[in-house]
Amino acid sequence: MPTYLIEREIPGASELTAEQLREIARTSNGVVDTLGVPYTWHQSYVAGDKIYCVHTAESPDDVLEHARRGGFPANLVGEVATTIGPHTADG
Amino acid sequence: MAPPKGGRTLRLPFGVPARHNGRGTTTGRPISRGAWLKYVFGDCELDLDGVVLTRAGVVQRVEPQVFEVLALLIRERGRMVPKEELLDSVWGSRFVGESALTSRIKSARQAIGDTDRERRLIRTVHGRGYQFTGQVVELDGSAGTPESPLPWTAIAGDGTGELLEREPELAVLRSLWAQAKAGRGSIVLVSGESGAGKTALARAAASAAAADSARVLWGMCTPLATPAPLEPLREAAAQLGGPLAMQVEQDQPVHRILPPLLVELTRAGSVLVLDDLQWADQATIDLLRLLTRRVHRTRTLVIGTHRDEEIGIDHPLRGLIGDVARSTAAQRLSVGPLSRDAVAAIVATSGRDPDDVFRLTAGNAFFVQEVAATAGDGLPSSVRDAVLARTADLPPAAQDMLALLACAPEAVPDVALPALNVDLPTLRALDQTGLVERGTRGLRFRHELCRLALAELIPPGGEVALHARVLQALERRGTDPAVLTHHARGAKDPERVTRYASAAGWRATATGAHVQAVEFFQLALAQQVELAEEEHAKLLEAMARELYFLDRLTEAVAASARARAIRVARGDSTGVGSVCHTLSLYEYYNADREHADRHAAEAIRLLEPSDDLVELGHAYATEAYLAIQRNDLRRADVILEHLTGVNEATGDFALRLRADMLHSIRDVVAGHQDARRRALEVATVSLQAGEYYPASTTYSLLVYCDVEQRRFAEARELLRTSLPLATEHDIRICAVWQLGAQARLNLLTGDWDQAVRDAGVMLGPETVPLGRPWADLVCGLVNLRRGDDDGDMHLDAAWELATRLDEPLRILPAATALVERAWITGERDDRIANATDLLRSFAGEPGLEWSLGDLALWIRRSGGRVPDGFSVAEPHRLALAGDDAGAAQSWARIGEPYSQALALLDSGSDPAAFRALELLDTLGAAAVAAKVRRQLRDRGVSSVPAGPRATTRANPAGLTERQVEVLAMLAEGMSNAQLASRLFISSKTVDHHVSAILSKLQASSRTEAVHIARERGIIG
Repeated sequence: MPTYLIEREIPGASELTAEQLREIARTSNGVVDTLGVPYTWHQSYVAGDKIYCVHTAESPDDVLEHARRGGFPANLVGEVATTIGPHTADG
Repeated sequence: MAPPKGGRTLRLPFGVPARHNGRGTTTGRPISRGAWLKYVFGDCELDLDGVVLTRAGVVQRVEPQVFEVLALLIRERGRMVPKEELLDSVWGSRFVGESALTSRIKSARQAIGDTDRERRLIRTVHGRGYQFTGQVVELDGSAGTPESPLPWTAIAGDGTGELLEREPELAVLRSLWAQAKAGRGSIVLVSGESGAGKTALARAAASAAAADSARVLWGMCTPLATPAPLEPLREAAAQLGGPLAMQVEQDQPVHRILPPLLVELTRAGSVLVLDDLQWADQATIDLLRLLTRRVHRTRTLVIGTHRDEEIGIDHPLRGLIGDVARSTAAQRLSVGPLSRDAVAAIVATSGRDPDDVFRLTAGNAFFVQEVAATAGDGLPSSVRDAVLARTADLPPAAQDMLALLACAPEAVPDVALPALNVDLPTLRALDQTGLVERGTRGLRFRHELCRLALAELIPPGGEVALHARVLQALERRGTDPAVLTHHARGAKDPERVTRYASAAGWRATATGAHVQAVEFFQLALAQQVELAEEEHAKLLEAMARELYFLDRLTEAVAASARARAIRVARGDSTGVGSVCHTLSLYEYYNADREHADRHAAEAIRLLEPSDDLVELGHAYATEAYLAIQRNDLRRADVILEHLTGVNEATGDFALRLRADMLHSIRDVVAGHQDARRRALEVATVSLQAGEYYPASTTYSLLVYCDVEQRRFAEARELLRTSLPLATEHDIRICAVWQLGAQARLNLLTGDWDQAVRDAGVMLGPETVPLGRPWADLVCGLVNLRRGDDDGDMHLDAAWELATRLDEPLRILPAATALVERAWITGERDDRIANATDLLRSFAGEPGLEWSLGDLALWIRRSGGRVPDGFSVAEPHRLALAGDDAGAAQSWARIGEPYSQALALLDSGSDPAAFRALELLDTLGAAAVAAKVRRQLRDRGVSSVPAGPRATTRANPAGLTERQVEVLAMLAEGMSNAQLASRLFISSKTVDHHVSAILSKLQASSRTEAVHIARERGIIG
């Protein structure tokens, strides 16, 4: 299943409190549970006015449906082609 | 209707609309291109380039320093600006005291409507400085069309479907868009039966315009029993963000929403579609009516769609349709059934027989498309069958969702889908049917006809559980309380109905959707759910106010009285006092002076010991107002002195306005030189503060005095601006009052047709009783003098109401009219046996010179004796001193031809009587002229000029000018209702005119009347 990187513009994202983040995570989990299709939320990174999320899903449509039901913005959805890191140099 | 969507996946464009972020702001992003040129906040716009401040579209004149202070505070709105910094940057190195700054701040607040009490925009940080705390949107004046924040295809399908046989309509809409783009906006109302293809036409037009740079905004109305206020606008504004969305989101009243809406519709060439207006709430319709008058200055084509079949004669949309008929920037389009050929084209590939389909569907576009999409041999027998055929193979989960959707005409928001257990496969299955669509609001049926078909499948009683599920999914999601009320009702949950209907009612009060507010409050109260006493009382008080706005005064009095009873039972004497002074006004407007007096007095008695000085002030104001209405200036002065004391202590702006108004009007009544100017000043201050109500009230009272004291030119001048103000802001009591003054003005100055027309408006079924006496007097007197029927009926009604109100300025004119009636008809009237006593009892009261004088002259004319020693106006004084010729000259100078004619008669000479007859004939006072001719002949005068019958001479059939006007409209094929709205008269009056025309032309039908009139050259 493809992995997607989703960029969400949320003004003041990095100032969200722990309680607010918990609420967002709960909502997101709830949505994932009711999608009725294979879907995994792996991790998200909060930075400045944005949140970057890593999901695996069958199609970008599913990612957008997740956002729609959660009430989250999804400003950019990109399929992850591959990953690189320090270990890539070892080739 | 649009064909099923092309793309089968639920494709969502990137950039899901930014959601409300929960901090009371919207994320409307500024359109940045270099330096900012304009700040928009509330209903104000500060144009830095042009150095202009406008408020509600009106330019505010402010000193340069005030402007600079304001601009600086707004620019630095993120922080408190210290006083020193303000002084330094605005006045530079010049030494200025702090008072210069405080006075500029005060002017700035006044100019932007940040009144003393609220201070929502400029905050004072005591001893340190000021901060601008309002929401501001910055606009670049040179910016071109901003990109649409939301692609409209997400709301309205792909819009690429073929549209058959709508080329002429589309061409009209295209050309209107071209004009709008060039700066001449307009409104089009598209009507047709359900399923005719109104929305499809609007979509096609919007789509074409979008391809030609238009920004498309879309708002839909939904068929809830009571709609949410401004629902379609809320949806359209959400697509924009910015100050407009802010105002709508904050439930601002319509007149505050209009300015930012106009800014938006002018800033970017747009097509604004408001769909299914037959279900619109009052605020939406009011806003559209205001927009109709201004749309030509925008760059927007507004398309409103509505069904023909649901617009009954008293549907609120009628008013808008009437406006559209009168406006040059508005028109109507009708979408009719498809022809056989079009039907054939649609079903060409389906293998159906076009003739069968055409017969079955009668060319209803939606039905035809459903039939074309239905598989199988047999034809579905109805729309319902065609729709249901599509759902036959759906899995149970999808069927279940369809049932839920059938209960939710307003759409199920996406965020509620998890709670309803709707998974993606189900959603995809639903999408395959082509029955549903997804927009900004969520998931809903593509067409109301689909929803109705599915709703029929729900077994009786089954909807209760469905509504309960939707309700649970929607609660705590910021859902509109109107929608929650709908589901709570469906779920038969009285507790929740009460809770949500009250919330929806409060929301409706804020936007000015009075009709809906009353419906919600009544619904909340009908649940028999016990409310907290304070809440219950507040709800009743709010409902009374809304009922009052709707002229339903008897109900308003009843609701207010219930609130009073609750507060009495609680022993809340301050609360009782507050209710009482409002109740007093409702009772007074309802012409129940006795109770009004009692409750005004009770309010003062209860509030004097309390420390709520503002409420006490209003109680004094009500009492003073009632005293002035009775010309009891001694009482008014005592109360006004109390009011002045309270006013100084509170510094309350609204109370100060009311006090200033009463002081100036009191002086106008007393005939003080400078008072009129002061009254106008009070009104101007009110208007500048955006307080339309006190301004309109001041105008009403002033113009009433103007007419009474015969300042005709001033009265006319004032009415020219004051009546539109009252109408536009829907201040009905003032509109009626001023119309009464105008009717009387026209009666006195001899324009009787117009006078009767004005009066006719006020004699409708639901008008303020307080407005009726003058309407009845005017109609009664004109009919009496002309010798027409039903004059007596009006005079009886006027007399009855005048005695009930017990005010000299109502009783004296009513009594005068009865004396005149007895003189003209020669019939005895016991009601005026003691007319002379009336003169005595009011002699010497201020402000009654004209009414006393009028009565005195009629008593003298009828052979009665006029007592000495009371003050009257100039013409009466001359007449009573025996100088009737002088009196006639005086009346001529004043401009009262009827009084002049009577004064000429009084003088007793034949030439004067002949001149009087001329005047009476011109006025059309046939009954009076006949009596005069009889008297002259009886006296043996041989050369009495024959009656020319002015109206008969005008055209051979003896039709009045008005009747000719009506005839011309009949010739255009207008209905009575259209005539009524075009001529601003009631349908009853139209009926009256039409039957008069038929009888005068001896025609048996309207068509025949038109025919005869054309033959005789009466109409072209």
